[in-house]
Amino acid sequence: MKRLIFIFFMFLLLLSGCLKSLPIDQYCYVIDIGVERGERLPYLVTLLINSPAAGSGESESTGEVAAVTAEGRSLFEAIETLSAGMANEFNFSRVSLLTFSRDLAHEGEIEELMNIALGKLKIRANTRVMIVESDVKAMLEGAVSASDPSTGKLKIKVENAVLSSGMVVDIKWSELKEAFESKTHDALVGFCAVNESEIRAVDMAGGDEYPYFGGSLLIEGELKTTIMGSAVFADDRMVGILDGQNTMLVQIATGAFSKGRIRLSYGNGKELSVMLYKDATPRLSLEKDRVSFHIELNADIEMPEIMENAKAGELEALVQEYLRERLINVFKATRDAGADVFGVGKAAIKEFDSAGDWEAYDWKGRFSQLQASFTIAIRIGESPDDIALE
Amino acid sequence: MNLREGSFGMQESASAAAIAVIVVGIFSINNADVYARGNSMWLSSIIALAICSVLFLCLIRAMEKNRCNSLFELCHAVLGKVIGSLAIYALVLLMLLAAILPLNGFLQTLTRFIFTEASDESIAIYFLVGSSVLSMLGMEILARTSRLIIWLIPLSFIAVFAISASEFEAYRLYPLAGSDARELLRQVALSLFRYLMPLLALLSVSRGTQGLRFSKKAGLIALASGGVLSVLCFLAEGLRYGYTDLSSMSSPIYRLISEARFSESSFRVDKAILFIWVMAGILSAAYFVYSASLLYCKKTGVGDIRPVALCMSGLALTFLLMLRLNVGIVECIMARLYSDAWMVMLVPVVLLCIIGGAKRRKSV
Repeated sequence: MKRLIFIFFMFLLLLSGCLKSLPIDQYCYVIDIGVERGERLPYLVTLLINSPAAGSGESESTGEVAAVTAEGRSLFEAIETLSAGMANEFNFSRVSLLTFSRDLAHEGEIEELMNIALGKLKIRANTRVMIVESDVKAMLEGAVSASDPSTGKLKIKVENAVLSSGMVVDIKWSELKEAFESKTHDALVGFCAVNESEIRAVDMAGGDEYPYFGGSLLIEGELKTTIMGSAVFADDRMVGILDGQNTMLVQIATGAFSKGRIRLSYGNGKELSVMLYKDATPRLSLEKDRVSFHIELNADIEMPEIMENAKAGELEALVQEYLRERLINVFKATRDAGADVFGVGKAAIKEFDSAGDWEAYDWKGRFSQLQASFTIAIRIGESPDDIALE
Repeated sequence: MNLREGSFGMQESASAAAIAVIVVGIFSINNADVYARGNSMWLSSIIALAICSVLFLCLIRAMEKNRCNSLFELCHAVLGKVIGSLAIYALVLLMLLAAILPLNGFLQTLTRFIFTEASDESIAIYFLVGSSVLSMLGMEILARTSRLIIWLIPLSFIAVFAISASEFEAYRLYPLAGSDARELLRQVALSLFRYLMPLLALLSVSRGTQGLRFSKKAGLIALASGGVLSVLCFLAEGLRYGYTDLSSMSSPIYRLISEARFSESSFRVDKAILFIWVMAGILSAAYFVYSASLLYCKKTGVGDIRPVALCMSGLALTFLLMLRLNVGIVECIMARLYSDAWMVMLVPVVLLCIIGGAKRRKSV
């Protein structure tokens, strides 16, 4: 009797109908998605797919991946158009990069594009986001190499570069969405471009002579695309760019920094290379019209032979003053553009007892009037004095 | 009579009730509603847990005073035949609701993140099989199975907290009280349903627990352990996501681990952990279905619980699918039940506590 009941229940499983399973090779897995302005229709969508190109759209095979493009009046229309020209069914569950052109970012269209697409296309919320200078398709193709056709290794490298240099930003869609919707902070988004492209704007805070931007680095490497610096957002619109060094400074102040190198000049046109390490989480205190940052860093002087006659105290003061001046510079530039990339709003929200009061409060109005001060404590690990004693 | 109440110890009953507290406490939330005006989930949960423990102790006291071994006997002894019957039927419906709500959450998670091409029905059939078979086998098997897997559940949550801890930030919890006092009270009321229903189910099956003393201990242990875990979950969610994000999000607890940064291993663990949670969800659903079936059988005099349990499972899953398929009237009913279930539950509970606590059953 028990056996009969058991068999009866097993048969119940057959009532479920078709589970709609497709073999893996009948899916076309999308790795990266790029969106930019189209020539004839509002959007040009580029999909980097993990199978040899087989569509009627523009495509070019690069090893195991292909970039296919289509224009459309919306993201869905472009994808549907592309689907019509593909032998396999698109699967977006493996998308790991969303790229948007600078134009779209400036016009504040990213949030609207992605809010619906994310759920409908089943794109993971931890997909990383980047802003691209000009041609998105060229950027995606430039990120592919023979040793890394699926760009998976490049993305791991970006994660590591955030920790090892601080000049790169790795932000996920869920974090960008949080910045768009909350008033507590604004986002820095990774900036990239094909290395021959022309940068149309300059660092909004007045950066280095050497442009530490993706796309303008003086290198000739395996990849045509380079990633460095960040796009600055105020709410959901891009308002400027910070180069790699200024991006690192913002990350130092917000605690997202682990280690990175700075170069500073001092008398007689010489330059000092300093490796900075995070010592403690930065502290921020907000008063009515002033915000104070307290930052603690360890530093290694990488060229001590230059400072033969310098004492450790002088080096600390030099690095402190350099960082302080540049941080104030970056703060003012981003504040004037309405971008709270330093996350001062995270301190402001603690002043409120209810979410309604916080939402009704004109935080950006107050933020635009804030003055900032930076107190930086540097502890130099290797100094000329120590080396002289050795 | 074949009601399959069985006989099981305190550990088994505490495990079954604790799993129900955790599952209903964490996975039956309507995020769009509770986080719309700030995040007061962790605070409202703490207050609700305190109130639930008081109500539970009052119910136990009423049962002791009236020499009742189960909630069914207490309802009849204290409220009389008519009102007692109404109370029992209301509790049956509320227990089915408590079975459905977390399964809705699991179904949403599974179709959104794991089986993205599968339909709701093809996944729900497995919930039906699991909950109906377990509830038909009886409370002893349910309780012993719960005892077997109970330790996996807190371990799974500890893994989630550990992996996602590096992305916690305190500012996301602010404003700490969420919205205003009125909203906080509303959240407390909604939380009462989530935390008290497992205990009411425990009292419904308490004949198998070898005495009220063990039921009392099991209930308090389940409430404390499950409650603490729920509050920690809400705190973790609040530290990782702001309330604006949480209000538009499905399955934040799953996303805590699936979106962890800089951790290759976490991408393999999230599905294993979800599997553990789904197992707990099916056990919890079976627990409520069995309790509802038991109350119904005792009320109507049906001698064999198995067909009733099968029907109750089918009813619950059908309602769940109608909800998922956006059937208009079902959505209206569910919205009403979601916002007012605590009132429907509290009325008989408070009456039982007050009248039962004052009245002493005359000895025959």
